[in-house]
Amino acid sequence: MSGAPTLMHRRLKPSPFLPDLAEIVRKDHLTSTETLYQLRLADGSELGHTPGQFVELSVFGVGEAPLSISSSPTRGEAFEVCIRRVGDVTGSLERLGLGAQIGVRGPFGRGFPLDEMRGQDVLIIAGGLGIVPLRSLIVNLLDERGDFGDITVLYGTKDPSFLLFKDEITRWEARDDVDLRITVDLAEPSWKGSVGPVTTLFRRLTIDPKRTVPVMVGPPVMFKHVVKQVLACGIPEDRIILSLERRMKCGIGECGHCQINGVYVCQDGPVFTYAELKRLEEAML
Amino acid sequence: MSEAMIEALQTLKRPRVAVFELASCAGCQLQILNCEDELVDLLQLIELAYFKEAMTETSDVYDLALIEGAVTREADEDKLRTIRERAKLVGTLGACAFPVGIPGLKNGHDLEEVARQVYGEHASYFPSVEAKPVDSVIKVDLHIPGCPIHKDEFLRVVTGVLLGRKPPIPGYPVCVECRLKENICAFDRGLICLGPVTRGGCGAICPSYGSRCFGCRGLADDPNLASVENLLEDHGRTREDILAEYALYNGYYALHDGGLKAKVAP
Amino acid sequence: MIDRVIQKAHLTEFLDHLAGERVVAAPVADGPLTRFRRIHSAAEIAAHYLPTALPPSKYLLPTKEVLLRYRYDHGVSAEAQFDTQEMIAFGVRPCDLHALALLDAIFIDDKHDGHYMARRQHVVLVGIECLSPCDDHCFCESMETLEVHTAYDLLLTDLGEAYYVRIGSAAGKELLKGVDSMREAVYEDRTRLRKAHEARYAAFTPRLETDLSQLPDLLADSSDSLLWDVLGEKCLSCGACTNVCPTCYCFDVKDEVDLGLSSGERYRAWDSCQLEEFAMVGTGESFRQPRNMRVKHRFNRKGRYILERYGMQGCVGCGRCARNCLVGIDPVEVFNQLKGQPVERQERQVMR
Repeated sequence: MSGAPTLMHRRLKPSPFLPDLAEIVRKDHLTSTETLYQLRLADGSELGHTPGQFVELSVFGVGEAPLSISSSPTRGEAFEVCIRRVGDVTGSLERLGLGAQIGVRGPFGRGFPLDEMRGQDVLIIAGGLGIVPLRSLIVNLLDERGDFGDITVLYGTKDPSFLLFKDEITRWEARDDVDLRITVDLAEPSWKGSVGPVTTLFRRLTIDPKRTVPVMVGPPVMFKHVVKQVLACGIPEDRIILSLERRMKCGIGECGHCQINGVYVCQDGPVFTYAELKRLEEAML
Repeated sequence: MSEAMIEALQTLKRPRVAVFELASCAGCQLQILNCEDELVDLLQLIELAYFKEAMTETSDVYDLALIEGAVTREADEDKLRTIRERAKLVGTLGACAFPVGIPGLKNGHDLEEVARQVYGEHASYFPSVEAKPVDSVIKVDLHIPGCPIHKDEFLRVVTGVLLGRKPPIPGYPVCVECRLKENICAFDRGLICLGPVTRGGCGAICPSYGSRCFGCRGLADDPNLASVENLLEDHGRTREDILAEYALYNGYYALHDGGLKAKVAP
Repeated sequence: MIDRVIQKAHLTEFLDHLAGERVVAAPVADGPLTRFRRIHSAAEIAAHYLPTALPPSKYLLPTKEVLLRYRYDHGVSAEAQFDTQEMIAFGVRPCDLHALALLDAIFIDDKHDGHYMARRQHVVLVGIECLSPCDDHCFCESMETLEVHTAYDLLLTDLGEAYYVRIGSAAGKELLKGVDSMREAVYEDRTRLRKAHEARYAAFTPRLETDLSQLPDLLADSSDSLLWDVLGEKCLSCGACTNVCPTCYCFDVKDEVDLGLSSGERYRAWDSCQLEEFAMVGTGESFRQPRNMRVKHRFNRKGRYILERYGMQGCVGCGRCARNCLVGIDPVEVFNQLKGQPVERQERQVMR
């Protein structure tokens, strides 16, 4: 590394903080707090992401927020993000109508290792909003169904009203090439499905530890229990895939907000193997 | 499209704003009037419905109520409840409204004696109770801290509120901005300072002008009170000195809820 | 490039001339503090000074820096902002040069950050070697940052009546063209430089009790040390240590709206991992809330994480954090205590 001398040969590069413009082309209210936005880049280009990556989405005058991409790259140029209204940016998006222009930077980060999943059984475990990035993966897997072995999706939420992507879930349930199981923490007596944490769905599940790639996204408390469960099945640590939520401010490994121990979630992740994370105290696993 | 977008982003569109005063010096209201260069633009964004310091017309119809001052009379409480019913959003201005500040100096003393000292033989004409913060009576949606408030912060909060943003009031202590300004630390000038536990956002204005922090913006979100107490003791202050130090602005909370603790502003 | 020798009187003349024509910043004393600020004559420059209140990195990564301006006008448009103000920073210490070399490695070589690069291309750095320690807090010798071979455009060493000048870049050479009276260094000058360097080591006492190469392992093994709890109880979380640190560069990105609401700017501003909000996510959960964990994170960044990621020291031993800590948290003491203490090995519940 050297300082000033090498600079003379460098081209002045544009800002990594200047977003591309995108237009809101569709808005679907999935629940009382979550909305699915379909966005199209102003220049008509594809986002070019892999499932598991995220974008920095901005409303000028309000700010920028990291959001995981919810659509599959197999589905054309528009892309989707699913947003729960929690902060300024997500709240302001809710007020914007179709055609409104927002800023998009990215895609950023390391997505799910699709190539390593090819030919393998994929066991997807989603807790709450964890279904948002996992929907990107699930749709991708189903669009390239022949490349993968058994596909199992375990999805747990607080109560049935929190279930996202209900229409798609109905369609997935109807397919015989994917095993979809849903559980809720609390339910009215009218709920016919399973009640309990997502780990209850492991009962009567046949897992071949030699060819199963478990992929999980959810709250920290879910990771603790599910990791224990899949380890008990005999799946090696470096094949357990999980994705973390942190405060990715810049998306390019500069700002420091998403750092856990020596790792930058925005660059090194958000998708990790359990082997990579288990020694990191701040991963909270 | 652009105008429609700005319009869509706003949670409040040209809201009617009312400014009220309880026990205070009116200094925060004057800070609003000090926005001389910005007033014309500001009045494009909001409509003034009631502002006794600035206008003679009055109205009971408003969206955003801003209240300066502490609650010191029973009648104030009814007034506040009426304001709360009428306004969509209620904000408070300055240290008197939270964490009570100067009006709270009488708390903990014999209030009748205090009244006699201030009003003499006519004390009974001025019924007064212990000073308390506005948010102990009604729900407050946002608070602009300071003694007085700063006009830049006021404008930032107003534009932020219109766009539905959380008021951009920092949770960190005064020291953060003081170091960024490259000030000589008050402790290095032989003073003590409440900067390490006081909410920042003021640009460390008092230390920047050779003074030190008195805590007017209330406690920061995460103050290490125990460590600061040790620090002040290391600088020769007794526990009584330290309490007196907090009493100037944070006295209400030093006396209530089992002593001074992190009381996060509304 | 051939080294030069400049008589001090000539350098002063040159600086006076330069400060009249161009933007020159240098350390200027104000009571106990020294600050880098713009000067208009060489007489303003502090003769002896502790590391400045804020490090000179403030010129490359300003405390608040506008990244883009946006406008709602027939849709939205946004334009990135770059600062291309030419300036000369005179009197940069080796510790700060090492820190700037680290920032270059991160913001240029790794991130290609155009905002940083634009500034960096327009700042000429004139360093001055330290021949004696600043005070008891400095520990550059222990961090091996006393000697410097990078980042500077010119590097001066005090030889008594003259400065020995090493040229680090074309920009440095260009700057020297303005000096009327200067000669090429000869063998005798280089001997004097070498002797000054040798003599310097007698003045600096090693302060770190662990071998520098062992520091990352020491920190990695000290994750469960009770020292973090002790420091966590003391720490005021006031951010003084990170704000004055020349290798700290974390920032927040925010929008500011003009009063008309139809335009505004997006800026980045220095932020600190010592503040509670730093690791908070959208839902309000903080992943590094306890004070002891925040303190531990800072020392691991300084002594371990940055080194592991960029191969350069994350602490340059300037001592600013120790000088500015109101409760006396000093990195040398922390590292030495970690070294001296039997590390607490029992399983401990992480405080949450």
